[in-house]
Amino acid sequence: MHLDAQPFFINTPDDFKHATHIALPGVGSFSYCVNNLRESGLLSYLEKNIFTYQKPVLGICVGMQMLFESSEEGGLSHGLGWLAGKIKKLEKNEMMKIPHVGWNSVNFSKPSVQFNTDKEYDFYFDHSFALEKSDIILTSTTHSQTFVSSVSNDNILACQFHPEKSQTNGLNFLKMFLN
Amino acid sequence: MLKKRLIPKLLIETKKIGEEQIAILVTTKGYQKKIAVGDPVSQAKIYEANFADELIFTDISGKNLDENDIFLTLLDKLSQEIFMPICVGGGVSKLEHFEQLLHAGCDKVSINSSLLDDLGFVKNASKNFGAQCVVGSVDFCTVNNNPVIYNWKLGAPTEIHLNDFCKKLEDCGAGELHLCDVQRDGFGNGLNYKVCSEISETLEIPIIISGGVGTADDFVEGFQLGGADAVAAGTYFCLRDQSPIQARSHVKTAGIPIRI
Amino acid sequence: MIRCTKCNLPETHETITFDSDGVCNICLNQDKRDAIDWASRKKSLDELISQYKGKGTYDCMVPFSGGKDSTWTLYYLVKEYGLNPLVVQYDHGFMRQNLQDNVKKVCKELGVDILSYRSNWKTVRKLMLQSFIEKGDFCWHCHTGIFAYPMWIALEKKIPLIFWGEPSAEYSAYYSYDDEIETVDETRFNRFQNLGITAEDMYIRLDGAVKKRDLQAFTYPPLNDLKALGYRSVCLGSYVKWNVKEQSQIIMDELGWTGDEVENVPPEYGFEKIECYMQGVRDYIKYIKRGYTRPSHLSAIDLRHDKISREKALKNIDEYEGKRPPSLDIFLESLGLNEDEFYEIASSHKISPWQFDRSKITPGKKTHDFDSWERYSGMPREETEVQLIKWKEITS
Repeated sequence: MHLDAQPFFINTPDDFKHATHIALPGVGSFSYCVNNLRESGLLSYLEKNIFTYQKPVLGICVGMQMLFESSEEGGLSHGLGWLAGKIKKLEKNEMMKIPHVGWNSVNFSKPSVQFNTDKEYDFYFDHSFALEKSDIILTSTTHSQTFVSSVSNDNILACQFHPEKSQTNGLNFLKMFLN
Repeated sequence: MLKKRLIPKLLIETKKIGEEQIAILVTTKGYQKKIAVGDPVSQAKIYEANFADELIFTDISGKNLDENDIFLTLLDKLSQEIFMPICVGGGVSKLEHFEQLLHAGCDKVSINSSLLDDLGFVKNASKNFGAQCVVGSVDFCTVNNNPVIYNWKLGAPTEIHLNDFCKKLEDCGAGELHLCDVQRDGFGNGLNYKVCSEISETLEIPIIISGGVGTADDFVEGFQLGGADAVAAGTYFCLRDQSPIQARSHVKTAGIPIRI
Repeated sequence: MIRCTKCNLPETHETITFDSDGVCNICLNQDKRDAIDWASRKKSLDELISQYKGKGTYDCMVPFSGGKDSTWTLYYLVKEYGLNPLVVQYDHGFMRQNLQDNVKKVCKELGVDILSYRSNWKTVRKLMLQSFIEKGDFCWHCHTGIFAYPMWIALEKKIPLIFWGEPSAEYSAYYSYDDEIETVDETRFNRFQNLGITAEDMYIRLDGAVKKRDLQAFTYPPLNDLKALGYRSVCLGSYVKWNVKEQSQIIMDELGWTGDEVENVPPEYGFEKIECYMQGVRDYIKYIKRGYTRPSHLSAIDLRHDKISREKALKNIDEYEGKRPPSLDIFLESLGLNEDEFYEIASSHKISPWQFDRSKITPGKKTHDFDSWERYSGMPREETEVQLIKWKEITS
């Protein structure tokens, strides 16, 4: 309502036709999300919409993680492998607690209408695993270590934080995705 | 850097007002007395406008989640009006409850009474949904100088030692603990930052402390002396001319990293 | 108590924080105000108005109290742009005679339509007592009525453009001048206008003693309806640099607007808060809770803009703060309270680290119109006691 967008759930292959943008919000464990997606029967349609039709896609939290090769969560689990990189457990540190829960700053490496590269923006995080580095990094964040908090590449935008929960910054991030 | 969090606590009960049976927000004292303070959706929107970092919603009627239609309807309404992190609990005892709540838009699910029945549930929930979704909600009190778990259903302390129990919860895969001092609940005389500090030093997972916030200084104590990652408050925000924004300014003035 | 090294406001002021030099964020925010390109803001205002002028029966709505800010807002829009506004006044029930005369003078001189609305007193006195008990601020009906009621009229009369006056960034840090145009919407209403209580909450807190339909004027209308109207609800002060002293002078000279004596306020500030005869009690409660009140607040603004010396500011505070207002008698009668109860309730809302000392209080002066203030239909004691029972529950 706030962004004048009309979201709907994709349950069947036909539903894809009506979508101009696709969001992959992920809540749950890595393997839970990946397996559910594989078992849904929609994966091949999803891949077609993204790689052939080039529809913009936004992966959030585990929805970002599963785009990569693998994750250490629950042993070693395979992801979708669309993007290069491995998800690892955040380092332990005496001062810092894991999971990484709460509002933390992100630094943008590429400017946009909504965000400057010389300012820090707070977003909401809730995770124990993260991507250490990436060639397509958009933002970085520091907790017990510095990690990749979002990536962007052609029509793929993916973030470890939750823009849908991050109030004004989050709304601006979603605006960036929709535009 | 990661900021400390201020979290309003919203306790939900059902009450008949006028002709209707509705979900209302209450605050409690010592987990006993309940005072009606407002409409849950309205208050959630107010907290959101006031930059609360998260919200904790707990249904305290004692019903199982799937039998609690009024609460489920409320959560549905919330997910359409609120766009901030929320942790929900109240009668959660099965993995299906986790699925239901996460699909309804909750970020974290809080387990309270079920912790005393079966710690295996925590392990399963953590394995299936990730530690970051699982919050152990631990009520405690002090008996003969020892902090022990409090069983609110029985209205009595147990003999389970708090520190041991918290360590077990962490080992079972809980991602966060919410500790509430029942004896301080609603009295506004300050947090039990001493107990909080002991737990926070022992564990690697984040700790939310609540029970007793009465002044803005109590937040500062919770962070600085208690080592808490988050301080939750119920009565404090409802019954004073105090909002999260004002408390936040006070915390910032004390030099604590907090979102503003 | 820590105080700002520039404007002297104490740490108990809402939203205040201090930098390493002890200067408060509100002072620092003023520098941002001075750095704004007001010429470009004026251009935006021109564009905004051109989208709405001449399109309906009314070009815009101006929610109006009759105080200096809303009067100047109305004056500016009529004189500068020749707009035909609908003026909407929420009457909180405590309007002073001079204020009512001002409203008539101003509306006649500018030539505008005005709608004035006063809520059911029997509902209002319950709301006053409940919000005083729960939040230490009895003005809930006014805070909400002023901001919610005009929005219902906007919907009813289909007036999408709504101009408020002074931006809140002038005196607090809920918004900053960085935020560009301050939108006056439900988020702002919830952020600091309604004391953290909506009409839905009040209905529950009063346990159904007031019906939902009696609370409509205090309820913010649904966002969907406002969006369907295409509402634009903005502060004029985001487009035009606010200068209280200059603006007050203009409305005095050109419209015959007059200031008034206010309980426990230095006479040179007689252009502020002249509308309401409960203002003295309101300020007094603030003093009990936070250890400062109107004289500190007003001299802070002058100190910030280098318009007053520190000595004069401290003298004003010493002479006028910490005085018992005569209007307290009227307040107590209206709500069926006794004075001890009043102090108990107000003190229960103190903001640390301030400690109130009743023994240090001296009586304040009556204003010239004190005897004309309404004193009938006070709440019967039995009714007061029902609400006091709840307060006892909360505090026991």
